[in-house]
Amino acid sequence: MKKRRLLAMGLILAMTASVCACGSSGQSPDTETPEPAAETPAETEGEEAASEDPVETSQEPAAAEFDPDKDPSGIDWTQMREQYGAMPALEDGLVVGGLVKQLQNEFWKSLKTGYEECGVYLAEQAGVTLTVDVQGAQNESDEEGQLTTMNNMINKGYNGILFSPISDSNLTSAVDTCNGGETIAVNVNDGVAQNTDYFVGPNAYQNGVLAAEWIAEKLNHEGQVAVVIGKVSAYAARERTAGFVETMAEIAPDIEVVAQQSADWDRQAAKELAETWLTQYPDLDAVFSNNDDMALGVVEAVREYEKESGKHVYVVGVDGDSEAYESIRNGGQDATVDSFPYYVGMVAMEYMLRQLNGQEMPKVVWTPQALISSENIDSEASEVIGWTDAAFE
Amino acid sequence: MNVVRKTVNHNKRELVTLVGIFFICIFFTVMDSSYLSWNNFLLILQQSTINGIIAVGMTFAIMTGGIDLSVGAVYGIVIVAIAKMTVSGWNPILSLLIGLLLGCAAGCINGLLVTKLKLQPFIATLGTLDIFRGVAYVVTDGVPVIGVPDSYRVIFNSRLSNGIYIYVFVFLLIAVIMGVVLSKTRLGNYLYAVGGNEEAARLSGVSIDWVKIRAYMLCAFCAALAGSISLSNLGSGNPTAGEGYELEAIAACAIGGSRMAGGKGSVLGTVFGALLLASLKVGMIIMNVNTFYQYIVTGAIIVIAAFFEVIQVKLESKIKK
Amino acid sequence: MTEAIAFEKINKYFPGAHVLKDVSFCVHPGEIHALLGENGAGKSTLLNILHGIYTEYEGDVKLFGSEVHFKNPNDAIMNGKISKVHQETNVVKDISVGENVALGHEPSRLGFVNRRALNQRVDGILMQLGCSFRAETKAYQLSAGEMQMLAIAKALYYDSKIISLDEPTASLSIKETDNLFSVIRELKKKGITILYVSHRLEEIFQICDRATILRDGAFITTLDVPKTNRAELIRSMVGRDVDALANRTKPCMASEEVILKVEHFCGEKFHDVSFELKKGEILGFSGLVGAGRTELMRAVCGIDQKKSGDLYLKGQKVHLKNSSDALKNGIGLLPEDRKTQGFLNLSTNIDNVAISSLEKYMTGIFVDAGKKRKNCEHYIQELDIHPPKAEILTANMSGGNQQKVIIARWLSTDVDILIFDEPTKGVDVGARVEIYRLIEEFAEKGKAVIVISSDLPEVLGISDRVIVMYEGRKTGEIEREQFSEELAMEYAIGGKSS
Repeated sequence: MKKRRLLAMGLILAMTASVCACGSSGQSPDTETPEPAAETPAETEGEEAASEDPVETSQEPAAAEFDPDKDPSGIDWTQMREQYGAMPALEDGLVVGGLVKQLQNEFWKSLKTGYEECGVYLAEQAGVTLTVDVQGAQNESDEEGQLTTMNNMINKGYNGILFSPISDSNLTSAVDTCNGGETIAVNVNDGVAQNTDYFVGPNAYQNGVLAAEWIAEKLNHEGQVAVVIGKVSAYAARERTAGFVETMAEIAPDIEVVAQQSADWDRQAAKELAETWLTQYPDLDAVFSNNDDMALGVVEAVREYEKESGKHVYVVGVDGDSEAYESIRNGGQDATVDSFPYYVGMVAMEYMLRQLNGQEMPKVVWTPQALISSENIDSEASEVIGWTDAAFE
Repeated sequence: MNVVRKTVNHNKRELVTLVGIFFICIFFTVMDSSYLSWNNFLLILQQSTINGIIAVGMTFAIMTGGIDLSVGAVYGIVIVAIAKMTVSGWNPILSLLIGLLLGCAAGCINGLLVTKLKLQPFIATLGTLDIFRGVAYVVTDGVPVIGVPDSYRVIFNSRLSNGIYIYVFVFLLIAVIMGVVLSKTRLGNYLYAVGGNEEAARLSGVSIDWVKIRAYMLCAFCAALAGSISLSNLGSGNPTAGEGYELEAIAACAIGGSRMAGGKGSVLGTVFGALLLASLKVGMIIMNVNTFYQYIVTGAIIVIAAFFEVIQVKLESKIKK
Repeated sequence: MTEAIAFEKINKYFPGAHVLKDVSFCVHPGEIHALLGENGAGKSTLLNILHGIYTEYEGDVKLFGSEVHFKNPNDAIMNGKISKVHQETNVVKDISVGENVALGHEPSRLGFVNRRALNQRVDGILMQLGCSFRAETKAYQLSAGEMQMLAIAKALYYDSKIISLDEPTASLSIKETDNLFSVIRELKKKGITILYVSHRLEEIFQICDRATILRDGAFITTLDVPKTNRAELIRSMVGRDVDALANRTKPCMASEEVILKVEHFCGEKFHDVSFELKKGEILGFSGLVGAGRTELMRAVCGIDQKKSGDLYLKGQKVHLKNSSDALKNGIGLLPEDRKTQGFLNLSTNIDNVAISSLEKYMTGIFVDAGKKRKNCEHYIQELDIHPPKAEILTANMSGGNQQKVIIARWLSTDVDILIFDEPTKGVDVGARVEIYRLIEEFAEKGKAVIVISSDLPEVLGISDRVIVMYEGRKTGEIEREQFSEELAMEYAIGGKSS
């Protein structure tokens, strides 16, 4: 009987060993080989396709893997203003739906405000009526419910829908309906429906780039950093991580990314992760977190460590949560890459109205974002990004 | 010698889990010698605290033959409630007590649904999971409650002179108390009876409903305590906190030898289960194992633990022979 | 002569128990061979080995000279041509008799079940057995006796050469039993070997040729039935001379003080029942199965709620909401179905004895494990519970000993009234006598007992007074001096009063 128990235990060990072996070989913490990490197979494929045959990709963007961050047609919101000029005249009585992930979350609430205020402002300017109806799913895992809401909007004959899918796939069937029908569907922000014709949102890859540039400068281009990844299945998490790791390898080869692990967007988990890192890598200089919630968990772990070692560890997050702003003011978190959901909403609504009123818009438009640290935290957001309201002729 | 043999005989299942932890430690130490250190040991204790406390409570719900899926939501609602109270200047200790009472009340609701309305525990607590989570959203309007004063945060989040956090002691203390409740009190005896054969326990004069209500209250109390600790660790009350924690707690119970149909299990086993999960997690982080593989390994451990349940009976009959 | 079945040195272990010890004996081809023993003697275990239900054992089983080791029950039926008719028959109620017989082995044509061929063949077998139902009949329409016939038909369908019957008459009427016996004799004429397990000794004398007796997992003897007698069989089974019948050894202890009074109880299964129970009395409740006795007593204990009626305990009117209320008021019920309602399957004897009386073992706020164990050991000795171990699971003991553990549970409490529902069902002869003794001793202490029993000699033997019920109504009350089986039976079938 002892033999059998030993055997079983041996099995556990063998299993763990083999899995760990694949794990460590699959993902090299070494930044000198800046290939995208093994956990983003989808993205790797897309990139390969793009680099092998860029012409075909640009001709038929929908056929290959659609990656809004790297789409060749993509332009910045300022470029949009330059290339398309003033707003076209608005048709009266348009109805635009907004479908967000969930309305409990601060981020999506700001996005909603952006939709509504832009709509109200532009309709007022044009002297027409415009209805904006923003709805959300029950929670961030209510994929079915979100699809039902979108189908309802289509059935009610909305002219346009600004949708933010919970997963990359839950709304694809509704998007297909729109693609062949009357309703214009614009994918806004991080979830990406592969079959969408239009996308507006911050460049998630750029989030990571901004963070990497700032940290590299603060560390004088040498040291050790780590990345707290969100849910590994999330597009934003993959892109932000890739943007950070790849940029770091490029601009600061002497900065080593010693670890990249997921904390599932959970603050408690991020804190525990950072605690483990700080015992394992006492020379860690900075942590980049895929969002602010997790960054604030890291801040808690770092604070204890700083008290003991007297050494500062930079913590940078993404999203621009008000709590992160507060923490930056109080000397906790060091920086956040704010993608200004309010302005995402503004740009997306503007894009939608341009499209609905006769302008042929490019497939992808990137919205404003900026890194906020103690240096620029007290400036107005509109100032930081150089915002101007859209104008009619 | 006799005492040792007796202890071994009475805690066979717990020993299996302990041996599992032992092997995990050896494995990671071989892979990376820095794993075996006092600091790392403390780290594992710290990181098993939240899940461990929730899982200890979950053991009580599972013991009755039920389950409590709402623990993550209770955890969230208590975090939000205490955060709100302390931010608006209430006495931190008073806020903590009210938060814990709120947890008990939530557990009481679960218990009443299961006993008086005779709902299946899985369904009832699936419902209350959404209800409690929804209440947390409504109360906070979906925005995290920030600025929890240090006067609250020091309650659990300070270190003693030897560098150990108070909350680790709270974990060990609550484990001992709940262990004693389960093994030494009348409630504990009744729990084993109810889980083993509810009808027989009823006919023996055990008041089943009251036993179950208390089990669900203790379960939710533990979730509330875990929430109050997490709040003191993080300093901000996020209404989404604790999503999915119920599954991790159930995993700890299963690895520790709780029988999902009830009547079998122990607090010691569950604590070992939580420690095993934490030591595995810390080890994999230290080895920088890709997150994808971490899921596979954790899942495999749960399956192996379930397998042990099955072969244990066979092994025992062979030993006797 | 090649033996039909030869057991050679069979040993079988369960966790904590050695249940078969070197059992060796033979069954001749074409005979009806009885397997006797108290509950827990190892009869069912032996049958389970023979039929491939238990696959792990030591020793050899030979059928017609060749050694067999079946992998599962199906293997035994298909390759060993040996079938078992279960104590509780395994019948799928929603399908027809024919489908039940051929379940899993339907004759097929082009991949479809050839229902006509199936029904023809099954009907042929049913006619041989003299059954009035046919293959088309839905199984839920069958009576208990007919289900036994179905099981036998199933055995014949697979051309079984050996059929074992485990307590086949337990739920049969007298007429059905007679019918079963004539079928068994017919099977014997066809050369089929029958292995017959029963507690009812008179049946053994009616149809069996030889009888093998097991005791405590060991082979005792094989006797030629015509050459032996009842006393010898019992002596071999229990290892001593006992009278298997219930008999009072102590005088009637009933006082005049009424401890329990039931007035005009009405419920789903009983109507307007009133009776009194006196201190020190043993009150029997007789009647046919389904007369509403169990339901009445569950209502008395507050387990199920009555529609109307009053309950008085020691003159005080009380309302019991549940069995924990009943316990507090000094009433305990020992249910008929021990496995689902009696003992705690996952608990040891210690906990099974202690569960109703935990407040007795407290030290401060803690339950003292030592006191619990001491209490359990006390009752193991006093009730002669076997095996005499406190730590083993009650689920692993024999029926009679499980019943004793549950009696110990109630003796550990301070209840004044105990209600036994079929206290000796599935209990072997030796343990029965001891249970009767315990009931008497309980009454002797000035407590009161109600015994529900469908066994007339038992209820008349043990009781001071007997109440008879028929279809939910009380049809008669008999004082000890007027006791007779005929009178009780008359009341039980609705007799005199109506």
